[in-house]
Amino acid sequence: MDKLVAAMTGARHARGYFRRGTQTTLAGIFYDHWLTGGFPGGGAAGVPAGGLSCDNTTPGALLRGLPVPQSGESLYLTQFQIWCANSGFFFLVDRIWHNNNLSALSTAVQAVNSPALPARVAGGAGVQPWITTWAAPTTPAATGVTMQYVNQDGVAKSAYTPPLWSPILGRIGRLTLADGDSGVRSVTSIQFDTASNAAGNVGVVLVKRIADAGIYLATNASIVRDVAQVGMPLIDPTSCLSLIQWCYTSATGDLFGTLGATSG
Amino acid sequence: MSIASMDAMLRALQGEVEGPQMAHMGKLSITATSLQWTSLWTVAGQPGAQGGVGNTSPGVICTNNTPGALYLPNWPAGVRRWMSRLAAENTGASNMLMLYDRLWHAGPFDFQNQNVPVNVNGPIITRGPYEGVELVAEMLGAGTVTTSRNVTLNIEDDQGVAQNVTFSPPSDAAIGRVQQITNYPSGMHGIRRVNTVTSTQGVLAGSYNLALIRPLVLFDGNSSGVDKDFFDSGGVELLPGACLSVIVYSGSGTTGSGQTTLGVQTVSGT
Repeated sequence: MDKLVAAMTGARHARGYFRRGTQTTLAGIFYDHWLTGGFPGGGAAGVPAGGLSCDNTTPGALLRGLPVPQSGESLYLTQFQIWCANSGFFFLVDRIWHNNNLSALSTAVQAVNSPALPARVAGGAGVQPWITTWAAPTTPAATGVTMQYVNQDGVAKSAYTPPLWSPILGRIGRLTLADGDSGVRSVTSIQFDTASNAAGNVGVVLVKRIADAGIYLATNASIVRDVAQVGMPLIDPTSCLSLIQWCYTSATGDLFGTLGATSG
Repeated sequence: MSIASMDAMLRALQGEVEGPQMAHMGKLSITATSLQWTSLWTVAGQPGAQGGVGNTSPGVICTNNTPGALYLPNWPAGVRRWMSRLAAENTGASNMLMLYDRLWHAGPFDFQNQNVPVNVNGPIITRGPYEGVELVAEMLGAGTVTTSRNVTLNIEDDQGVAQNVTFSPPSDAAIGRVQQITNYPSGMHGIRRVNTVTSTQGVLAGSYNLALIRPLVLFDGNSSGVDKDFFDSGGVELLPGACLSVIVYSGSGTTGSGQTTLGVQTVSGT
């Protein structure tokens, strides 16, 4: 406790503030706030060929100025607060990599071939694959997704996610892992089992969850996770902090929040 | 330059270095719009209401001595202060309040100044990092408007790059309404100065202030009140000369800013 107080009042302590505007969505859907406008500016839709490895300097990251720990120290999340005009459950994630230009029109196997993970998540334990929409076809269809991937132990695996996700802008779907797996080192390919009417533009996203907070069955309310409640998860100073929201209503609601990160 | 232990924190609360300080606010309620912001800077109470800044170029660096700021004494060089407790109550049913440090402001700017850039040439802010600094427009009153219009601001972002951002004044532009930049450019994490301001339509009589603010703490505004300690506010440091004030976000279904009572306690360390 002594060291915590010293660290939080020391030189390597940072706080961040963010807000995001409300977005139309659907109850019972994950929403990716990467592109949502607000403060700081949202992420960019354009992704280079081969995908983009994200870090704290990537446009869209919630906090760029994360403290760099001194030798022998680590960086911890010490506070996470969300206020939202609607109810929802919020994941604070480290966005590691994403790609685009996968086709919602195709039911063939589509190569992903995500690159080696950065050092901050080396090994892949806890790295979660998701699928997101950069541009929606005019008639998006809910589809199951078969994913080929390499798990946290370096073993090639396959898993099927039932049709819980549709390629609609902002919606992001969590992809299922095979029994016993706790993360991925890479995603090799995906295959949709139902085609939309057009290609649109979808992509795979790799994230690692850092913290979460739920505003249950309430509106215009906040949840605060202080240092004990947030559990002081380790974060890397190059983490690309971002938000995913599980929506309880048909709009995300205006949301505001703060973050605290302390090195010690 | 820290509080070295929990024991030292307790001693700080007891006033080992300097006695704890309290900053207070009490503001009346004014009519507000649901899902919009209201600046208590312009609202009557304690401290008293403030209007136009009276300086559009280069504006004013705000401090704890700026009229409208919560009373906060100066502290000696070498001493640092953190927020150890915030207690507040707001009579709104579902509002959110933001305690912020007002870094710079300028105004009043005229909406009717169509397509004529105002060379603000504001100074670079002087307190704290540039990341996390928001630009807001604070309405000083106007008539009703039916034509869409924009105000374009050329600013210098937190990386020192000149960029344009825009906001659309609200249709009623009631006194106290705060308009934020809805969509900052991708990758922008803050603003450190304002260069020019240009209104693209001149159909609205009225004016506004611009302010650069650093949001510090968010808290629920309701009659149940709220208490936040050092830890659940995330370890907020108040920088010397901080100009504290509050913005209210009216939640869905709320039509007033609510009467606000606020107390901020700080502790010091070296």
